[in-house]
Amino acid sequence: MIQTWFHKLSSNVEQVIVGKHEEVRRVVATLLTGGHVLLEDVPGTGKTTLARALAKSLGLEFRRVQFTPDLLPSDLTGVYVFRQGEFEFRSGPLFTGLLLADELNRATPKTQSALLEAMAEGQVTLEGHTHPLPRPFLVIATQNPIEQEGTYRLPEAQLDRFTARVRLGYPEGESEREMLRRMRQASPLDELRPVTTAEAVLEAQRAVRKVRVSPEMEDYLLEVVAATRKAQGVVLGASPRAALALERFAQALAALEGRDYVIPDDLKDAVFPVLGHRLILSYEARLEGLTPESVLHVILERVPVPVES
Amino acid sequence: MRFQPVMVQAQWALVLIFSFLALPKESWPGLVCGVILFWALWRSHYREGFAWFSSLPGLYHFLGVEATQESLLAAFGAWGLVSFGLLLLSLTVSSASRGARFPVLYLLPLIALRPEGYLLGIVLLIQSLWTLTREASLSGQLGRRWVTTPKAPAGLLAAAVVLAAGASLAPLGIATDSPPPSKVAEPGAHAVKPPAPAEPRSEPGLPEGGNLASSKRARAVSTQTNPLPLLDIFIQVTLALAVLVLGIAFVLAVRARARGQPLLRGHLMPLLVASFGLGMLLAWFQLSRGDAGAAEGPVTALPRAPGGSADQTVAPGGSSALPVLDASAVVGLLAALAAVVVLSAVAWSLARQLKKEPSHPPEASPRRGEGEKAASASRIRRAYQQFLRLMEQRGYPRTVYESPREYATRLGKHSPAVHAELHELTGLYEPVRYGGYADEAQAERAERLAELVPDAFSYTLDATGDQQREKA
Repeated sequence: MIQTWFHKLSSNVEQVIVGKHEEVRRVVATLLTGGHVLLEDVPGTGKTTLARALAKSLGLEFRRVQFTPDLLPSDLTGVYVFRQGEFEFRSGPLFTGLLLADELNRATPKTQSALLEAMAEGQVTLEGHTHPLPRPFLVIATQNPIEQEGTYRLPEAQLDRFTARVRLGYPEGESEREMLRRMRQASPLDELRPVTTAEAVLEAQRAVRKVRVSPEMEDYLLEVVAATRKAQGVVLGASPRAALALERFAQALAALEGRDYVIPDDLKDAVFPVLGHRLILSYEARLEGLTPESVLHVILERVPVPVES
Repeated sequence: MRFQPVMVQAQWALVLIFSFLALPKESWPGLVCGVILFWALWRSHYREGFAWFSSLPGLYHFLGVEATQESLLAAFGAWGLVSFGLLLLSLTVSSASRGARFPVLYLLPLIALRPEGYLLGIVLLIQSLWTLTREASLSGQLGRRWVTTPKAPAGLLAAAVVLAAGASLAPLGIATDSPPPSKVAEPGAHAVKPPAPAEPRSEPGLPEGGNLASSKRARAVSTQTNPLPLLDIFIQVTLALAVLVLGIAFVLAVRARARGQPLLRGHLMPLLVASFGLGMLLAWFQLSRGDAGAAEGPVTALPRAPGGSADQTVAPGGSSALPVLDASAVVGLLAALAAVVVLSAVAWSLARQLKKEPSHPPEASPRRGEGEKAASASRIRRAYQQFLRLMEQRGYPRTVYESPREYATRLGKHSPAVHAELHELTGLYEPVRYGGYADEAQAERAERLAELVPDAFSYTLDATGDQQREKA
């Protein structure tokens, strides 16, 4: 059922985003885990378009916040205003279905923290009152890895709150040509129609939690996570929160393939988007040319997969 | 389309006919039992069980045997012969089916048994036919022209040579000219119970033959000379009971195994059979030790019970006239009886285990469904394990970090002809290993693929040689 649902959704989104099926799959998988995505790439690769296309296809309310150094937490969460003798809560852009936090690393740490806390808790507390965020709630934060001047690098603890990091990259030859043709007359984004509802998303999220993870797969997952903590050149390995995210992401990938059980390939597919931004390498390791991805490759080539011996 | 040519079945029938011709007629019932047993175990996917049960079919040689050392040794020899032959045959066929390169090595001990050296040729023939069958089946499934490998005609030629040599040394008719039981204890001879000779005995009342007819006459006369007629009846009843219980227990065990139920006490059966056999042998030797003084050869070396010789009466011709019931005989009989009782308990336990299954249809019974699911899952996992082993033997081992899908993809690049089959097998294995799903049809298909796919690699490599170089 989820497989069909995803097929409809991805076909709709890919009317706008050409040749990025795998990236769309990862973003949708993150949505199904109930987590949030960090889109990291150079400008102009379609990060905003992807977020808008996804919001339209999902039938979710979409808001975009351009993060700048002068952005305050209250600009996100909302404020209490005194009106007709009473304080009234005016919600900020956080109260939406899909929030695009553009260039998150340009905001001050205080504003970043406000957003990340709301992402983790699913609610906002102001003046002693708790305001739950709508469900489903997906934050797609973007980060430009090139321009670092005037930015506030996200701390490791806050990076850990993003379930997955997805890199869009440049479109490949024919995809880029196809994109030119589609965009020539008018933007297909304007004609995009919802293919699902928020209720269907919530139901899919519930179904993902029921995907079976066998004890052998649990062992495999834990061994991979433990290996990141012992790997050479790694200062900070995967946290327990990362292990939870890894399991949930693998469950979502299995569900998107129409399975109700996780196989080793799901876990391997999940390792790079889920753990890639969580590993912190030592200075020496980075000088040697190691990247989190290369370390994860080595780990996956050393941890035995549970198969018949 | 599944390629099951009639010719292949005809060739297997030919192998069976050769088997029957090679063994003496007296061993035919044992061979028939062995074939049925092998078939049942094969159907229930319990091939390894044949090694345990191969000693059972030959036990029929003890039915109706006289309480004389000569008859007993003849029956014992025949039992051992049939068991030995069936055991080696099963090991050879099983190892050939698992892709062993030299399964014929199991048969080398058979050369020592001259007339039964035929078995060597027969199994060489089986091995060759096996190879040819697999090659033909594979080429049919892949839609290719059937091209034989050099192994197959070479194996057939070797089989023909061995059979011809065996025929020149021991013509097929030798089985009908078997010596009487009093001579079959000679070493190297064809130690089986002969067909019932209708020759008159020189001394009425003294049992000489090892066959059923003479045994009946002996029993008829022994009512006059044997002071313990009830003992004879007791022994025969115990023996018949043991065979009956053993048969029932075996059927129940196979049924339970086919349903995937654990055989908690099933593996006790060979031990119990051995206990029963030893107990009966001890009792028989003690009861017939009057023969020991007159007989020659290995019989004289048999142990005697202390104080037992005083009671024996040696009759003309060296046969015992009176059985002696001493402590050893009683212990032997009691041990045999105890083994039968425990065996009955095992059979009863198995019957209860099976009876717990409700009688309504399988799909309506979750418990039975669970059992079948477990059996199917076990079969699929075994099939995949066999596939891995065979691929390793062909030089394509799975690396420890490869998932089944990655492994199938890599193998598919080496042999695109079976790309779909590789992924189908993987698709059957994954739900079992990681999701806990399986059903009977999937198990059948997985077993089929696990046998088919490695052959495709062997076939492809033998046919081209390019991929071998690539692999190197």
